[in-house]
Amino acid sequence: MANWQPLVDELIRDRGPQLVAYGAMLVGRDGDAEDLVHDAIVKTFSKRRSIGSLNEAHAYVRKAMPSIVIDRTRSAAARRRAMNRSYERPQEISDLDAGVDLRRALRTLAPREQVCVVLRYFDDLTVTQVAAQLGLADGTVKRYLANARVHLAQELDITEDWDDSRERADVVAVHGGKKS
Amino acid sequence: MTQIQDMFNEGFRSHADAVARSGGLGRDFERGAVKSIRRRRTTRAVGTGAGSALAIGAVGAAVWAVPGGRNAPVAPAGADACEINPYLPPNLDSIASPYGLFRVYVDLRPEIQDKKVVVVYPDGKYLDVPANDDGAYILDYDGREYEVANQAPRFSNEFDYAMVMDWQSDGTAGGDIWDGVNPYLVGYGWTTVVTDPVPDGIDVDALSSTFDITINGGGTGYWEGAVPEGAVTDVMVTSEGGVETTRLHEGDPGPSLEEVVGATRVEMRVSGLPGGETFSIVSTFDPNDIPEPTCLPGAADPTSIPEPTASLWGGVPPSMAPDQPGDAVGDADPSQVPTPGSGSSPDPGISSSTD
Repeated sequence: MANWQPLVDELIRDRGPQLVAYGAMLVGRDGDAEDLVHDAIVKTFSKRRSIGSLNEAHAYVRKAMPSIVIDRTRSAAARRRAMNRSYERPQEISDLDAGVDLRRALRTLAPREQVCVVLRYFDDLTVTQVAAQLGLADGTVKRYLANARVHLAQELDITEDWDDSRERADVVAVHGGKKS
Repeated sequence: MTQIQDMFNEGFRSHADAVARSGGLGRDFERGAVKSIRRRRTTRAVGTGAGSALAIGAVGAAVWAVPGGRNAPVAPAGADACEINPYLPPNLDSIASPYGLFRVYVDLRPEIQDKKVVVVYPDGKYLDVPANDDGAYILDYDGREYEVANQAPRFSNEFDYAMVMDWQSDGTAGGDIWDGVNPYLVGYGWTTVVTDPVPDGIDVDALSSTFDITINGGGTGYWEGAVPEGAVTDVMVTSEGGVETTRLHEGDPGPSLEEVVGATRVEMRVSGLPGGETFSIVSTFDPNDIPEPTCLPGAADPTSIPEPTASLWGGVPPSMAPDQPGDAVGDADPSQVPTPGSGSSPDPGISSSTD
Protein backbone atom coordinates (compact mmCIF):
# COMPACT_ATOMS: atom_id res chain seq x y z
CA MET A 1 0.00 0.00 0.00
CA ALA A 2 1.34 3.46 -0.89
CA ASN A 3 2.27 5.60 2.09
CA TRP A 4 -0.35 8.24 1.23
CA GLN A 5 -3.21 5.76 1.17
CA PRO A 6 -3.81 5.36 4.93
CA LEU A 7 -4.11 9.12 5.25
CA VAL A 8 -6.61 9.25 2.40
CA ASP A 9 -8.62 6.46 4.05
CA GLU A 10 -8.60 8.26 7.39
CA LEU A 11 -9.49 11.59 5.80
CA ILE A 12 -12.48 10.14 3.97
CA ARG A 13 -13.66 8.18 7.00
CA ASP A 14 -13.23 10.88 9.66
CA ARG A 15 -13.63 14.14 7.77
CA GLY A 16 -15.76 13.03 4.81
CA PRO A 17 -19.05 14.35 6.26
CA GLN A 18 -17.54 17.76 7.00
CA LEU A 19 -16.02 17.98 3.54
CA VAL A 20 -19.31 17.01 1.90
CA ALA A 21 -21.20 19.61 3.95
CA TYR A 22 -18.65 22.25 2.99
CA GLY A 23 -18.75 21.18 -0.65
CA ALA A 24 -22.55 21.30 -0.66
CA MET A 25 -22.43 24.95 0.28
CA LEU A 26 -20.09 25.58 -2.65
CA VAL A 27 -22.09 23.66 -5.27
CA GLY A 28 -25.55 23.23 -3.76
CA ARG A 29 -26.26 19.50 -4.12
CA ASP A 30 -25.02 16.56 -2.09
CA GLY A 31 -24.04 14.51 -5.15
CA ASP A 32 -22.17 17.40 -6.72
CA ALA A 33 -20.48 17.97 -3.37
CA GLU A 34 -19.23 14.38 -3.33
CA ASP A 35 -17.77 14.86 -6.80
CA LEU A 36 -16.11 18.04 -5.62
CA VAL A 37 -14.64 16.32 -2.57
CA HIS A 38 -13.38 13.52 -4.82
CA ASP A 39 -11.68 15.97 -7.19
CA ALA A 40 -10.13 17.94 -4.33
CA ILE A 41 -8.73 14.80 -2.66
CA VAL A 42 -7.32 13.58 -5.98
CA LYS A 43 -5.79 16.98 -6.71
CA THR A 44 -4.23 17.18 -3.25
CA PHE A 45 -2.76 13.70 -3.13
CA SER A 46 -1.70 13.44 -6.78
CA LYS A 47 1.11 15.85 -6.03
CA ARG A 48 4.13 14.33 -4.40
CA ARG A 49 4.02 16.56 -1.39
CA SER A 50 4.58 15.77 2.22
CA ILE A 51 1.35 15.84 4.24
CA GLY A 52 2.03 14.90 7.81
CA SER A 53 -1.29 14.87 9.59
CA LEU A 54 -5.02 14.45 9.19
CA ASN A 55 -5.61 18.12 9.99
CA GLU A 56 -3.11 19.17 7.37
CA ALA A 57 -4.73 16.92 4.75
CA HIS A 58 -8.15 18.26 5.69
CA ALA A 59 -6.92 21.84 5.30
CA TYR A 60 -5.33 21.13 1.90
CA VAL A 61 -8.45 19.45 0.53
CA ARG A 62 -10.78 22.08 1.89
CA LYS A 63 -8.68 24.88 0.43
CA ALA A 64 -8.64 23.18 -2.97
CA MET A 65 -12.42 22.94 -3.20
CA PRO A 66 -13.35 26.59 -3.93
CA SER A 67 -10.59 26.86 -6.52
CA ILE A 68 -11.87 23.78 -8.32
CA VAL A 69 -15.34 25.28 -8.54
CA ILE A 70 -13.92 28.52 -9.91
CA ASP A 71 -11.73 26.62 -12.38
CA ARG A 72 -14.83 24.85 -13.66
CA THR A 73 -16.37 28.18 -14.47
CA ARG A 74 -13.25 29.05 -16.44
CA SER A 75 -12.88 25.77 -18.32
CA ALA A 76 -15.63 24.55 -20.60
CA ALA A 77 -14.18 21.05 -20.58
CA ALA A 78 -14.10 20.83 -16.79
CA ARG A 79 -17.63 22.16 -16.60
CA ARG A 80 -18.84 19.55 -19.06
CA ARG A 81 -17.12 16.78 -17.13
CA ALA A 82 -18.77 17.87 -13.89
CA MET A 83 -22.13 18.15 -15.60
CA ASN A 84 -21.84 14.75 -17.25
CA ARG A 85 -21.00 13.11 -13.95
CA SER A 86 -24.02 14.80 -12.43
CA TYR A 87 -26.27 13.31 -15.10
CA GLU A 88 -24.69 9.89 -14.74
CA ARG A 89 -25.03 9.81 -10.95
CA PRO A 90 -27.27 7.12 -9.45
CA GLN A 91 -30.55 8.43 -8.12
CA GLU A 92 -29.88 7.27 -4.57
CA ILE A 93 -27.59 10.23 -3.87
CA SER A 94 -30.26 12.74 -2.94
CA ASP A 95 -30.04 15.87 -0.85
CA LEU A 96 -30.32 15.35 2.89
CA ASP A 97 -32.90 17.52 4.63
CA ALA A 98 -30.54 18.99 7.20
CA GLY A 99 -29.66 22.55 6.32
CA VAL A 100 -31.24 22.16 2.91
CA ASP A 101 -32.86 25.60 2.94
CA LEU A 102 -29.46 27.25 2.98
CA ARG A 103 -28.20 25.07 0.15
CA ARG A 104 -31.28 25.76 -1.94
CA ALA A 105 -30.82 29.48 -1.39
CA LEU A 106 -27.16 29.26 -2.34
CA ARG A 107 -28.08 27.42 -5.51
CA THR A 108 -29.98 30.48 -6.73
CA LEU A 109 -26.63 32.26 -7.03
CA ALA A 110 -24.21 32.13 -9.93
CA PRO A 111 -21.34 29.67 -9.22
CA ARG A 112 -18.75 32.35 -8.55
CA GLU A 113 -21.13 34.30 -6.32
CA GLN A 114 -21.83 31.12 -4.39
CA VAL A 115 -18.15 30.41 -3.78
CA CYS A 116 -17.40 33.99 -2.79
CA VAL A 117 -20.24 34.18 -0.29
CA VAL A 118 -19.18 30.90 1.37
CA LEU A 119 -15.57 32.02 1.71
CA ARG A 120 -16.68 35.40 3.03
CA TYR A 121 -19.38 34.45 5.51
CA PHE A 122 -18.58 30.86 6.44
CA ASP A 123 -14.79 30.80 6.22
CA ASP A 124 -14.73 34.39 7.50
CA LEU A 125 -12.20 35.62 4.94
CA THR A 126 -11.89 39.28 4.02
CA VAL A 127 -12.69 40.42 0.50
CA THR A 128 -8.99 40.67 -0.25
CA GLN A 129 -8.35 37.15 1.02
CA VAL A 130 -11.22 35.76 -1.05
CA ALA A 131 -9.89 37.53 -4.13
CA ALA A 132 -6.38 36.19 -3.54
CA GLN A 133 -7.52 32.61 -3.00
CA LEU A 134 -9.67 32.56 -6.12
CA GLY A 135 -7.41 34.60 -8.39
CA LEU A 136 -10.05 37.31 -8.81
CA ALA A 137 -9.88 41.08 -8.45
CA ASP A 138 -11.12 42.65 -5.21
CA GLY A 139 -13.71 44.64 -7.11
CA THR A 140 -15.02 41.52 -8.79
CA VAL A 141 -15.44 39.79 -5.45
CA LYS A 142 -17.26 42.82 -4.05
CA ARG A 143 -19.62 42.78 -7.01
CA TYR A 144 -20.33 39.06 -6.56
CA LEU A 145 -20.97 39.57 -2.85
CA ALA A 146 -23.29 42.49 -3.45
CA ASN A 147 -25.36 40.44 -5.90
CA ALA A 148 -25.35 37.49 -3.53
CA ARG A 149 -26.56 39.60 -0.61
CA VAL A 150 -29.56 40.82 -2.57
CA HIS A 151 -30.57 37.28 -3.54
CA LEU A 152 -29.89 35.62 -0.19
CA ALA A 153 -31.67 38.32 1.80
CA GLN A 154 -34.83 37.48 -0.12
CA GLU A 155 -34.37 33.71 -0.17
CA LEU A 156 -33.48 33.38 3.50
CA ASP A 157 -35.63 36.22 4.80
CA ILE A 158 -32.69 37.93 6.43
CA THR A 159 -33.70 41.14 8.12
CA GLU A 160 -30.43 42.64 9.36
CA ASP A 161 -28.03 44.73 7.31
CA TRP A 162 -25.54 41.87 7.44
CA ASP A 163 -22.60 43.14 5.51
CA ASP A 164 -22.04 46.78 6.35
CA SER A 165 -20.32 46.18 9.67
CA ARG A 166 -17.78 43.78 8.09
CA GLU A 167 -16.93 46.15 5.27
CA ARG A 168 -16.28 48.95 7.77
CA ALA A 169 -14.02 46.64 9.74
CA ASP A 170 -11.92 45.97 6.62
CA VAL A 171 -11.42 49.67 6.00
CA VAL A 172 -10.22 50.20 9.55
CA ALA A 173 -7.79 47.31 9.19
CA VAL A 174 -6.20 48.78 6.09
CA HIS A 175 -5.76 52.29 7.42
CA GLY A 176 -5.34 51.72 11.09
CA GLY A 177 -3.39 48.48 11.14
CA LYS A 178 -5.86 46.72 13.37
CA LYS A 179 -9.42 45.57 13.21
CA SER A 180 -12.10 47.22 15.25
CA MET B 1 -21.86 36.81 14.70
CA THR B 2 -24.26 37.95 11.99
CA GLN B 3 -27.53 36.32 11.06
CA ILE B 4 -26.08 34.91 7.84
CA GLN B 5 -23.05 33.48 9.64
CA ASP B 6 -25.36 31.77 12.11
CA MET B 7 -27.26 30.25 9.20
CA PHE B 8 -24.06 29.03 7.56
CA ASN B 9 -22.73 27.49 10.75
CA GLU B 10 -25.99 25.82 11.66
CA GLY B 11 -26.56 24.57 8.11
CA PHE B 12 -23.03 23.18 7.95
CA ARG B 13 -23.20 21.43 11.33
CA SER B 14 -26.57 19.85 10.78
CA HIS B 15 -25.67 18.73 7.27
CA ALA B 16 -22.33 17.23 8.31
CA ASP B 17 -24.06 15.36 11.16
CA ALA B 18 -26.70 14.05 8.76
CA VAL B 19 -24.04 12.85 6.29
CA ALA B 20 -22.23 11.07 9.13
CA ARG B 21 -25.46 9.41 10.32
CA SER B 22 -26.17 8.20 6.79
CA GLY B 23 -22.84 6.37 6.69
CA GLY B 24 -20.47 9.00 5.31
CA LEU B 25 -18.81 8.67 1.95
CA GLY B 26 -18.47 4.90 2.01
CA ARG B 27 -16.03 2.37 0.58
CA ASP B 28 -16.96 2.94 -3.08
CA PHE B 29 -16.03 6.59 -2.79
CA GLU B 30 -12.79 5.69 -1.07
CA ARG B 31 -11.87 3.10 -3.71
CA GLY B 32 -12.68 5.57 -6.49
CA ALA B 33 -10.54 8.31 -4.97
CA VAL B 34 -7.58 6.00 -4.37
CA LYS B 35 -7.83 4.67 -7.94
CA SER B 36 -7.90 8.20 -9.36
CA ILE B 37 -4.88 9.25 -7.30
CA ARG B 38 -2.93 6.20 -8.45
CA ARG B 39 -3.86 6.96 -12.05
CA ARG B 40 -2.69 10.55 -11.80
CA ARG B 41 0.55 9.53 -10.14
CA THR B 42 1.12 6.93 -12.83
CA THR B 43 0.57 9.52 -15.51
CA ARG B 44 3.24 11.69 -13.96
CA ALA B 45 5.60 8.74 -13.80
CA VAL B 46 5.12 8.10 -17.51
CA GLY B 47 6.55 11.53 -18.20
CA THR B 48 9.41 10.89 -15.84
CA GLY B 49 10.88 8.13 -17.98
CA ALA B 50 10.98 10.23 -21.13
CA GLY B 51 13.21 12.76 -19.45
CA SER B 52 15.80 10.34 -18.23
CA ALA B 53 17.41 10.04 -21.64
CA LEU B 54 18.44 13.66 -21.34
CA ALA B 55 20.47 13.11 -18.23
CA ILE B 56 23.58 12.27 -20.15
CA GLY B 57 25.58 15.48 -20.01
CA ALA B 58 27.94 16.50 -17.26
CA VAL B 59 27.22 19.76 -15.52
CA GLY B 60 28.53 22.65 -17.61
CA ALA B 61 29.12 20.52 -20.69
CA ALA B 62 25.69 20.12 -22.18
CA VAL B 63 25.24 17.51 -24.88
CA TRP B 64 22.72 18.24 -27.59
CA ALA B 65 20.61 15.13 -27.68
CA VAL B 66 17.21 14.22 -28.98
CA PRO B 67 15.38 12.50 -26.17
CA GLY B 68 13.53 9.25 -26.04
CA GLY B 69 15.93 7.34 -28.25
CA ARG B 70 14.30 8.88 -31.29
CA ASN B 71 17.55 10.15 -32.79
CA ALA B 72 21.20 9.71 -32.06
CA PRO B 73 22.75 12.50 -30.00
CA VAL B 74 24.43 15.18 -32.08
CA ALA B 75 27.23 17.24 -30.58
CA PRO B 76 27.04 20.93 -31.43
CA ALA B 77 29.95 22.66 -33.09
CA GLY B 78 31.95 24.34 -30.38
CA ALA B 79 29.43 23.58 -27.69
CA ASP B 80 32.18 23.36 -25.13
CA ALA B 81 33.05 27.00 -25.68
CA CYS B 82 29.92 28.46 -24.21
CA GLU B 83 27.19 27.72 -21.73
CA ILE B 84 24.31 26.30 -23.69
CA ASN B 85 20.95 27.91 -23.22
CA PRO B 86 18.70 25.23 -21.76
CA TYR B 87 15.58 27.41 -21.51
CA LEU B 88 13.70 26.54 -24.66
CA PRO B 89 10.05 27.50 -24.87
CA PRO B 90 7.43 24.80 -25.30
CA ASN B 91 6.90 23.67 -28.88
CA LEU B 92 3.33 24.86 -29.30
CA ASP B 93 3.06 23.14 -32.68
CA SER B 94 3.28 19.79 -30.94
CA ILE B 95 0.53 20.44 -28.41
CA ALA B 96 -3.01 19.34 -29.18
CA SER B 97 -4.56 21.03 -26.16
CA PRO B 98 -5.65 24.62 -26.83
CA TYR B 99 -4.47 25.83 -23.43
CA GLY B 100 -0.71 26.13 -24.04
CA LEU B 101 0.64 29.00 -22.05
CA PHE B 102 4.18 28.89 -20.64
CA ARG B 103 6.95 26.55 -19.52
CA VAL B 104 8.64 26.57 -16.12
CA TYR B 105 12.10 25.18 -15.41
CA VAL B 106 12.49 24.38 -11.72
CA ASP B 107 15.83 23.41 -10.24
CA LEU B 108 15.54 23.47 -6.45
CA ARG B 109 17.56 20.32 -5.82
CA PRO B 110 19.08 20.40 -2.35
CA GLU B 111 22.57 19.74 -3.68
CA ILE B 112 22.45 22.60 -6.19
CA GLN B 113 23.98 25.90 -5.13
CA ASP B 114 22.37 28.05 -7.77
CA LYS B 115 18.70 27.20 -7.38
CA LYS B 116 16.51 28.51 -10.17
CA VAL B 117 12.91 28.87 -11.20
CA VAL B 118 12.75 30.18 -14.75
CA VAL B 119 9.61 30.83 -16.78
CA VAL B 120 9.81 30.76 -20.58
CA TYR B 121 7.02 32.16 -22.71
CA PRO B 122 6.16 30.76 -26.14
CA ASP B 123 8.04 33.57 -27.88
CA GLY B 124 11.26 32.52 -26.15
CA LYS B 125 11.53 35.30 -23.61
CA TYR B 126 12.40 34.08 -20.18
CA LEU B 127 12.02 35.40 -16.69
CA ASP B 128 13.63 34.55 -13.39
CA VAL B 129 10.95 34.09 -10.72
CA PRO B 130 12.16 34.89 -7.20
CA ALA B 131 10.86 33.22 -4.05
CA ASN B 132 8.72 35.26 -1.72
CA ASP B 133 9.14 35.25 2.07
CA ASP B 134 7.09 32.06 2.35
CA GLY B 135 9.30 30.20 -0.12
CA ALA B 136 6.67 30.32 -2.85
CA TYR B 137 7.51 31.21 -6.44
CA ILE B 138 4.57 33.23 -7.67
CA LEU B 139 4.21 34.22 -11.32
CA ASP B 140 1.82 37.09 -11.98
CA TYR B 141 0.71 36.55 -15.56
CA ASP B 142 -2.22 37.99 -17.45
CA GLY B 143 -4.03 39.09 -14.32
CA ARG B 144 -3.70 35.78 -12.56
CA GLU B 145 -1.22 34.42 -10.04
CA TYR B 146 0.38 31.02 -10.58
CA GLU B 147 2.33 29.33 -7.81
CA VAL B 148 4.85 27.61 -10.06
CA ALA B 149 7.02 26.21 -7.27
CA ASN B 150 7.35 26.27 -3.52
CA GLN B 151 10.41 25.47 -1.45
CA ALA B 152 8.70 25.55 1.94
CA PRO B 153 9.69 22.48 4.00
CA ARG B 154 6.38 20.72 3.47
CA PHE B 155 6.95 20.72 -0.30
CA SER B 156 10.61 19.81 -0.17
CA ASN B 157 10.27 16.25 -1.46
CA GLU B 158 8.71 17.56 -4.67
CA PHE B 159 12.03 18.96 -5.81
CA ASP B 160 14.45 16.12 -5.37
CA TYR B 161 14.81 16.40 -9.12
CA ALA B 162 14.96 19.36 -11.49
CA MET B 163 11.69 19.62 -13.36
CA VAL B 164 10.20 21.04 -16.53
CA MET B 165 6.53 21.93 -16.26
CA ASP B 166 4.20 23.18 -18.97
CA TRP B 167 1.41 25.29 -17.52
CA GLN B 168 -1.87 25.80 -19.28
CA SER B 169 -4.40 28.58 -18.99
CA ASP B 170 -7.03 26.22 -17.55
CA GLY B 171 -4.85 26.07 -14.42
CA THR B 172 -3.37 22.61 -15.04
CA ALA B 173 0.30 21.69 -15.40
CA GLY B 174 2.18 18.64 -16.65
CA GLY B 175 5.69 17.95 -15.49
CA ASP B 176 8.72 15.91 -16.35
CA ILE B 177 12.15 15.33 -14.84
CA TRP B 178 14.93 17.46 -16.29
CA ASP B 179 18.69 17.17 -15.88
CA GLY B 180 19.03 20.87 -15.05
CA VAL B 181 21.63 21.47 -17.78
CA ASN B 182 20.57 20.32 -21.23
CA PRO B 183 17.75 21.80 -23.28
CA TYR B 184 14.61 19.76 -22.76
CA LEU B 185 13.61 18.51 -26.22
CA VAL B 186 10.65 16.26 -25.63
CA GLY B 187 7.94 17.38 -28.05
CA TYR B 188 10.30 19.07 -30.48
CA GLY B 189 10.08 17.93 -34.08
CA TRP B 190 6.40 17.07 -33.72
CA THR B 191 3.54 18.93 -35.36
CA THR B 192 0.03 18.08 -34.26
CA VAL B 193 -3.23 18.54 -36.17
CA VAL B 194 -6.73 18.02 -34.76
CA THR B 195 -9.61 16.96 -37.04
CA ASP B 196 -11.86 19.85 -37.93
CA PRO B 197 -14.85 19.98 -37.65
CA VAL B 198 -15.15 17.98 -34.45
CA PRO B 199 -18.01 15.43 -34.55
CA ASP B 200 -20.81 15.71 -31.99
CA GLY B 201 -20.14 14.13 -28.64
CA ILE B 202 -16.36 14.48 -28.80
CA ASP B 203 -14.65 16.34 -25.95
CA VAL B 204 -11.68 17.52 -27.94
CA ASP B 205 -10.05 19.23 -24.94
CA ALA B 206 -10.04 16.05 -22.87
CA LEU B 207 -8.74 13.89 -25.74
CA SER B 208 -6.07 16.47 -26.57
CA SER B 209 -4.83 16.43 -23.01
CA THR B 210 -4.45 12.64 -23.12
CA PHE B 211 -2.75 12.81 -26.52
CA ASP B 212 -0.25 15.31 -25.17
CA ILE B 213 1.02 12.72 -22.68
CA THR B 214 2.41 10.61 -25.52
CA ILE B 215 4.04 13.50 -27.35
CA ASN B 216 5.05 15.80 -24.50
CA GLY B 217 4.90 13.73 -21.33
CA GLY B 218 2.25 15.82 -19.55
CA GLY B 219 -1.53 15.72 -19.58
CA THR B 220 -4.48 13.88 -18.10
CA GLY B 221 -5.40 10.23 -18.40
CA TYR B 222 -8.06 9.05 -20.84
CA TRP B 223 -11.63 9.87 -19.88
CA GLU B 224 -14.22 7.54 -21.43
CA GLY B 225 -16.84 10.28 -21.20
CA ALA B 226 -14.87 12.23 -23.81
CA VAL B 227 -16.41 10.14 -26.61
CA PRO B 228 -20.02 9.09 -27.26
CA GLU B 229 -21.23 5.80 -25.85
CA GLY B 230 -20.18 2.91 -28.09
CA ALA B 231 -17.20 4.75 -29.58
CA VAL B 232 -13.67 3.47 -29.04
CA THR B 233 -10.35 5.29 -28.98
CA ASP B 234 -7.07 3.88 -30.26
CA VAL B 235 -3.59 5.36 -30.45
CA MET B 236 -1.41 4.18 -33.33
CA VAL B 237 2.34 4.77 -33.20
CA THR B 238 4.20 4.43 -36.50
CA SER B 239 7.93 3.75 -36.23
CA GLU B 240 10.75 1.76 -37.80
CA GLY B 241 9.17 -1.30 -36.28
CA GLY B 242 5.79 -0.79 -37.99
CA VAL B 243 2.49 0.36 -36.50
CA GLU B 244 1.56 -0.46 -32.93
CA THR B 245 -2.02 0.13 -31.79
CA THR B 246 -3.10 0.73 -28.19
CA ARG B 247 -6.78 0.75 -27.17
CA LEU B 248 -7.46 3.36 -24.48
CA HIS B 249 -9.54 2.68 -21.37
CA GLU B 250 -10.54 4.90 -18.46
CA GLY B 251 -7.48 6.52 -16.91
CA ASP B 252 -4.93 5.22 -19.42
CA PRO B 253 -2.08 7.63 -20.20
CA GLY B 254 -1.66 6.21 -23.72
CA PRO B 255 1.52 4.72 -25.17
CA SER B 256 4.95 6.09 -24.31
CA LEU B 257 7.52 6.89 -27.00
CA GLU B 258 10.38 6.31 -24.60
CA GLU B 259 11.28 2.88 -25.94
CA VAL B 260 10.16 3.49 -29.51
CA VAL B 261 12.92 3.78 -32.11
CA GLY B 262 12.31 6.09 -35.04
CA ALA B 263 8.73 7.14 -34.28
CA THR B 264 7.43 9.26 -37.16
CA ARG B 265 3.68 9.46 -36.60
CA VAL B 266 1.21 9.19 -33.72
CA GLU B 267 -2.52 9.14 -34.32
CA MET B 268 -5.34 9.07 -31.79
CA ARG B 269 -8.42 7.84 -33.61
CA VAL B 270 -11.98 7.67 -32.31
CA SER B 271 -14.16 5.27 -34.27
CA GLY B 272 -17.63 3.84 -33.84
CA LEU B 273 -19.18 7.31 -33.71
CA PRO B 274 -22.97 7.47 -34.18
CA GLY B 275 -22.65 9.17 -37.57
CA GLY B 276 -20.11 6.66 -38.84
CA GLU B 277 -17.33 9.25 -39.10
CA THR B 278 -13.97 9.12 -37.32
CA PHE B 279 -12.16 11.73 -35.29
CA SER B 280 -8.37 11.96 -35.23
CA ILE B 281 -5.54 13.84 -33.64
CA VAL B 282 -2.39 13.29 -35.70
CA SER B 283 1.16 14.24 -34.88
CA THR B 284 4.02 13.84 -37.34
CA PHE B 285 7.74 14.00 -36.62
CA ASP B 286 10.22 15.97 -38.72
CA PRO B 287 13.83 15.57 -37.58
CA ASN B 288 14.69 18.86 -39.28
CA ASP B 289 12.50 20.68 -36.76
CA ILE B 290 14.83 19.88 -33.88
CA PRO B 291 16.41 23.18 -32.79
CA GLU B 292 20.14 23.65 -32.83
CA PRO B 293 22.01 24.62 -29.68
CA THR B 294 22.64 28.21 -28.77
CA CYS B 295 24.61 29.87 -26.02
CA LEU B 296 23.22 31.77 -23.11
CA PRO B 297 23.49 35.52 -23.74
CA GLY B 298 26.83 36.96 -22.77
CA ALA B 299 28.54 33.61 -22.41
CA ALA B 300 29.56 33.03 -25.96
CA ASP B 301 32.62 32.81 -28.08
CA PRO B 302 31.15 33.90 -31.43
CA THR B 303 33.50 31.72 -33.40
CA SER B 304 32.02 28.66 -31.77
CA ILE B 305 28.36 29.40 -32.26
CA PRO B 306 26.51 27.59 -35.02
CA GLU B 307 24.93 29.72 -37.72
CA PRO B 308 21.35 30.48 -36.75
CA THR B 309 18.95 28.55 -38.89
CA ALA B 310 15.64 30.34 -39.05
CA SER B 311 13.86 27.41 -40.61
CA LEU B 312 14.39 25.39 -37.45
CA TRP B 313 12.36 27.90 -35.51
CA GLY B 314 9.12 27.88 -37.37
CA GLY B 315 7.20 28.62 -34.20
CA VAL B 316 9.08 31.81 -33.44
CA PRO B 317 7.10 34.95 -34.35
CA PRO B 318 8.52 37.23 -37.08
CA SER B 319 9.37 39.83 -34.47
CA MET B 320 11.91 37.41 -33.05
CA ALA B 321 13.54 36.61 -36.38
CA PRO B 322 17.34 36.38 -36.47
CA ASP B 323 17.85 39.83 -37.94
CA GLN B 324 15.84 41.50 -35.21
CA PRO B 325 17.58 42.78 -32.11
CA GLY B 326 16.55 41.20 -28.84
CA ASP B 327 14.38 43.52 -26.80
CA ALA B 328 14.83 42.17 -23.32
CA VAL B 329 17.57 41.18 -20.98
CA GLY B 330 17.30 37.44 -20.73
CA ASP B 331 15.69 37.23 -24.12
CA ALA B 332 16.17 33.58 -24.91
CA ASP B 333 15.51 33.69 -28.62
CA PRO B 334 17.80 30.89 -29.78
CA SER B 335 18.51 32.65 -33.03
CA GLN B 336 20.11 35.60 -31.28
CA VAL B 337 23.90 35.52 -31.37
CA PRO B 338 25.24 37.72 -28.60
CA THR B 339 28.28 39.89 -28.96
CA PRO B 340 30.98 39.17 -26.40
CA GLY B 341 30.62 41.40 -23.42
CA SER B 342 27.32 42.90 -24.52
CA GLY B 343 24.94 40.26 -23.35
CA SER B 344 23.38 39.85 -19.99
CA SER B 345 24.67 37.50 -17.38
CA PRO B 346 23.10 34.09 -17.57
CA ASP B 347 22.66 34.36 -13.85
CA PRO B 348 18.89 34.54 -13.40
CA GLY B 349 19.58 36.45 -10.24
CA ILE B 350 20.05 39.37 -12.56
CA SER B 351 16.48 40.07 -13.33
CA SER B 352 15.20 39.15 -16.74
CA SER B 353 12.38 40.85 -18.53
CA THR B 354 9.39 39.70 -20.48
CA ASP B 355 8.03 43.07 -21.35
